[in-house]
Formats: sequence, C-alpha cells, structure tokens
Amino acid sequence: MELEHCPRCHARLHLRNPASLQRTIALTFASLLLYFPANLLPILKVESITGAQANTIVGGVIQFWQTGDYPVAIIIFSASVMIPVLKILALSWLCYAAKVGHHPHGMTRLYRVTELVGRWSMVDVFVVAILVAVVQLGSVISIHPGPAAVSFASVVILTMLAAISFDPRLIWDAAGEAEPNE
Amino acid sequence: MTPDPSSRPVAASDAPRPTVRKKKTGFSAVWIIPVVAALFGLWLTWKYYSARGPEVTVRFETAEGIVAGKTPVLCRSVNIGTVDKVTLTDRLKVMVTMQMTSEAEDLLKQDTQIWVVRPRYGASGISGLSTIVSGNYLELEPGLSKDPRDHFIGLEQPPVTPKGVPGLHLKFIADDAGGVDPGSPITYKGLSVGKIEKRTFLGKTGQVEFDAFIDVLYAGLVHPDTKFWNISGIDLEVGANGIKLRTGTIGALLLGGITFSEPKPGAPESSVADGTAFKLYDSFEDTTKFVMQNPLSYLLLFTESVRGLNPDAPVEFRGIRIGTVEGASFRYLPDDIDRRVPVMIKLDPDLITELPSTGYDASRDFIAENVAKGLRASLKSGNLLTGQMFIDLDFQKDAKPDEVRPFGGYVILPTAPSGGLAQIQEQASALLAKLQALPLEKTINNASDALASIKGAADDLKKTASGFNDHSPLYHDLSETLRQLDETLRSLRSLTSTLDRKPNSIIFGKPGSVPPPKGSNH
Repeated sequence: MELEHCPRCHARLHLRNPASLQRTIALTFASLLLYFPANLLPILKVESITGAQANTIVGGVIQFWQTGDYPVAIIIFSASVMIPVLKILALSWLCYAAKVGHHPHGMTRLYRVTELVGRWSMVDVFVVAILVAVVQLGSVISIHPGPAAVSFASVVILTMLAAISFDPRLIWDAAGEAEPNE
Repeated sequence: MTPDPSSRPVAASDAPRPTVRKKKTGFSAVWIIPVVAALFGLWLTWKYYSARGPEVTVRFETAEGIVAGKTPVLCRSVNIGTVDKVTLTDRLKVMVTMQMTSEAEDLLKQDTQIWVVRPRYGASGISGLSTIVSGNYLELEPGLSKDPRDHFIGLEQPPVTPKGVPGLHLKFIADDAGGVDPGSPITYKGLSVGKIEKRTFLGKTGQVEFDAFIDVLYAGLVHPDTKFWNISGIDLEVGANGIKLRTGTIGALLLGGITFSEPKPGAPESSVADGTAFKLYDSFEDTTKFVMQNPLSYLLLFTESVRGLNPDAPVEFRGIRIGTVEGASFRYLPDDIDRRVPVMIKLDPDLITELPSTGYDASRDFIAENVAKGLRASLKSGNLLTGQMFIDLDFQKDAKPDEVRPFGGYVILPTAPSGGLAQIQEQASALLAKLQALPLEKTINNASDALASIKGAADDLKKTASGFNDHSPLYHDLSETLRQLDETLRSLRSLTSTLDRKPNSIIFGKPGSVPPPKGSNH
C-alpha cells in the first residue's frame, strides 16, 4: 500500500481507503461473533408481580406470531433477525467480490442497499430503550434490558461501520485486474 | 480552515509531489475489534449462563396456578429460579421443569422439599394469601442431605414445619387416623409442643402413619417408653371400671390432636433419635392396656353366662391385674356335656413380680403349681350398673383337687363358680327353681278342700243359730233360766252387801229374822 502526505497540511493521502478490506472483514467478523449472544440471550427482562420473564428476540417473534400479531412478528423478524444476517452475508460477499471482482455493477448496488438498510436494524434496540425508560413502575412491573440488547446494538453498529469502511472502488479495482485475464 | 494570507493557493502542478512511502502491509489494528467483540460476546454468554443454575424437574399432581416462564421458585421469599416448562407425563402427572439460579445449586439436595404456595385454609390457619395478588409460586425448602438431586416429587401439601427448624421428627403408627390431620397439635399438659406434619396410609398393613414434629424445647420430654394417644373428639368409655368421659381442648376437638404421657419418675434420661416410630394409641385407656411380652394363654370353661365379659376385660388376682381376656366364643364340644363356654385369657407373667424363676416354662409351671394348691378362675362382676364382668383368679378353700390340663392345643385352667352378684343371682335362681318345684297345685287343692269343710261348719253353725228364735222352747227355757239366774245373782248381791255391813250375819242371820243371842258382849 502506498502512503502519501499532503505537503501543505501533511494529512495522509490515500488512493483508496486504507486497509478498507481488512477493516470491513474484521468488523463483519466481530459483528458475526456478537450475533450469537444477541440472539441466544434474552433481550428483555420483564419483572412484574406475577413473576419475571425473559425473552429472546426470536422468542418474542414466536410469541407475536402465536398471538396472531403477524405484521408485528414479520417486522421484528425482518428488522432484527433477517437484516443483520443479510447484512453480514452481503458484507462478506462484497469482501469476496473486492478480491475476485465479479459483477462490479451488481456488487456496487448491493453495497448501496447494505449501507442504506443498516440503520433500520436498530428498531429492536430502540424498542428496548424506550420500554426500559418508560415502563418502570417499581414492584408492579419493570423492564430491564437483557445481555442480548448490548450485543444486538453492537452487531448493528459494527455492521454499519463495516459498511462504511468498505471501499466499493475495490470491486472495480479487482474487476479491472480480473478483466485482462478473461 | 482559514487560508494563510502569506501563502497563495498552490497550483496542482506547482505543488510538490507528495512523498510516497512504502508501508509494510501488516496486520491492521482494526482486528482488535473482532477480538474485543469475541471477548465481549464470550463474557456476556458466560455471565448469563453462570447465573443460570441447574435445571430441575418436579412432579406434581396438578399444575394449578403454575405458568411456564412466569411462576417463580422462592426460598424464604428469595427468587432462586423460574418455571421453564410444564408438561404432562404419560401417567397424567405434571412435570414442571424449573430453571434455577446458580445460588440455588446448594439447596437442591435429596431431602429438599418443593410445593406450590397457593391460598389455603387448613388446620394451621390461612396461608398463602399473598398469592391471590402475585399468583402462585413454588416454595423450596432446602434439605440437609449432602447428595444432590435434580428430580423431585412435589408436595401437594406444604410441610407444617420447615426442615431446618431444630426439633424432633417422629413417626406415629395408628390403626385409625381418628381425626388427626396434618397441622393437628401435639399437646403436653395442655401446651402445644409440636404438630402433625403428614398423614399417609400404609396400604400393606392398613395402618396410618403420621409424621410429627416436636419443638426442640420439648424434645426432651419424649422418651423411648413414652406413650402417645389421640385426644381428638370425645372419648366415652363404658367398661368394667365404670363410665369415663374424656375430651381434649376445644382446638383438639375441632382439629384433632395428640398428647403423650409424662416420663416415669426416676426414668433414666434417654433421648429419642430423629425419625423414631411410636405407636399412636386410640385413647388414654389404650395406653394402659397391657403390652405383654410373652403371654401365657389359658382356656377357661364356664358353665355360667359370660354376658358382660368383653375382650380386653381384666384378669385380676385379688384385684391386681395380671392379664387380659382375649375373647369368648361358644364352640360346640361333643364331649362336653355341660356345654361350657370357653374363654381365652392371657396372663402376663412379667406382672407377677419376684417369681422364683423366670421364663416361659417356669411361669407355666408356677401357674400349674398354684392351680394344684387351689387357684381357680371365676367370673366376677366388675360394675353393677353396666354389668361388665372380669375374671378373678383366687385360691378357693373348698376347691376340689384339680390341675391344668391340655385340651386341643389349649391349656385349661380350672374354674370355680363365681361369688358375688353372679353367685347371688345363681342362688336366687336356684331358690326360684325350688319354689317352682313345690307341689303348688296340690296345696291349692288341699286348701280349697279345707275351705269347703270350713264352709260346712259355718253352715252348721248358722243352722244352730237359727234355732234360737223367741218362739222356740229352747229360747223360752233359756230366758227362764236367765231370769232365775238374775234373781239368784240379785239375792247374791244382797247377801254380799249384808256380809259387808255385818260379816257375822252369816252366823247370826239377818237382823230381824233371827234374834241374836242374848247377853254376851253388849
């Protein structure tokens, strides 16, 4: 990698985002690691006089589905389970594409979508944050965030950072390198 | 950024070429992030799972009020777990799976008790009222055992006394539950010293077993020879010893209760181990009944009626109880002309103190020896009012020589005719029999004959009397005779009056009629 400095302000100058691919891979990998606790551990603990209850994200989705709230179940499922998975998969694919250089057009579009959609995954975290803040009625009912809430927020933030750190030009670079061989 | 006035913008062409340095393409510091993420994730997972304790299952008869994922498990009101799953087993029991916290691991021992707390009304009062608002919960009472356990059988009734409370746990075996329930008090001299915890029916023996708890303060009162009896309800007994009415406290009347005897004075201080089983007597009277170690059975044959002789009636020697009547039943014995009623008795040789030698055979020989000396059994009335009988053993002075005889697997102890009321009764009946045997008809006939002859005599008399009317010659003669007799008497009176006045007139005659002799004493 080449490293250049601006003669005036001595800022670093890069042709490409430095270590973009490595960053993206590292952040995607980190988010993948945290994805497991985010889904296996309870995200919400409800303590009421009738007892305590802890729910995981999937548990909540199943509960909504069983009670017939299909739209809510679908929204939570897509926002909290599907999108992070798809994002991680998309980022991985992008990283792979940046190395190999397949379908640069499609990959660039995928990158745009990934970047755009990222913030919507935070729906779950927002719900938890709002519930925890609002529902605090002492011994009657109180809601506490579970260990998964932090993990989940981390997953979303890490995927967003990964998407930002990814340099889509790498795809074209790779495509350019690959073309002469074809 | 504010542009420097001294320096003008430099044209790209004028600008010095940026220095290009080759940098080693090494490992980017960004890889710290996944490492941190991994550590963070691991830490979260570890923290979560380390807070989770073991998963245990409890079997209940019903899952009333148990909600999966909600119902908490409490120990001394501290949350130590949650019900995870409620399933139905193939035997239609309820299997409750509980997720315990890690702190609860030490509480899950072999003798740990788990039950559902719901509002209850029982002998020990109203409990579990708070569950009306909060919903039912599972209460766990930690065990004292050291062996862990992960499958429990839930109690349908909460234990009355927590496991850890110091005291004495006893077992009572009774033939009849007799109104004693879990929660019934155990009293001692009117003080509540413990409680009945559990009642189970022993199917094999048909008896009832109670688990009881005695407070540590009173545990010393229980000795190995302590007798426990039921004081539930009213105990009215009519026996050879009269009528007895015995009641416990009102509480014991309503809830049932158990009390126990005082330790014998001078009894050695000996404690009772936890879990010792005691026989629970039905009444105080039962405790005084004999528990014979090696009883001697004898058969008595009575010619008298054994009415009023009940099983468990005493067998006494001059008023001292030495045995018990087993029972009386009539058995037709072809050889027995008298049709005597056999009565089985049991003698306790241990009650005859200071025997020359002890042991079963020695005791038998001792009885046989005394029978030869005139020891006889007889029926006696113990209570005139109720007619209860007992067996009296005593030496009869005029007893015919007799001895104990074996008879069809039994040993016969010779009997004597009873004294007392039975004897009087017998004599009275003998008297009546004699009376009945008298030739009463003949006597009556004779008497009527005699009456007939008396009547004849009376008739004659009447006939005689009828002869005395005033026209008959006899009457006339008689009246004549009477008149003359009257005259005679009158003259006799004048004679006597004359004699009164002049006693010499008998010699000199009446004055005037005969002149007195002259010249003598004038």
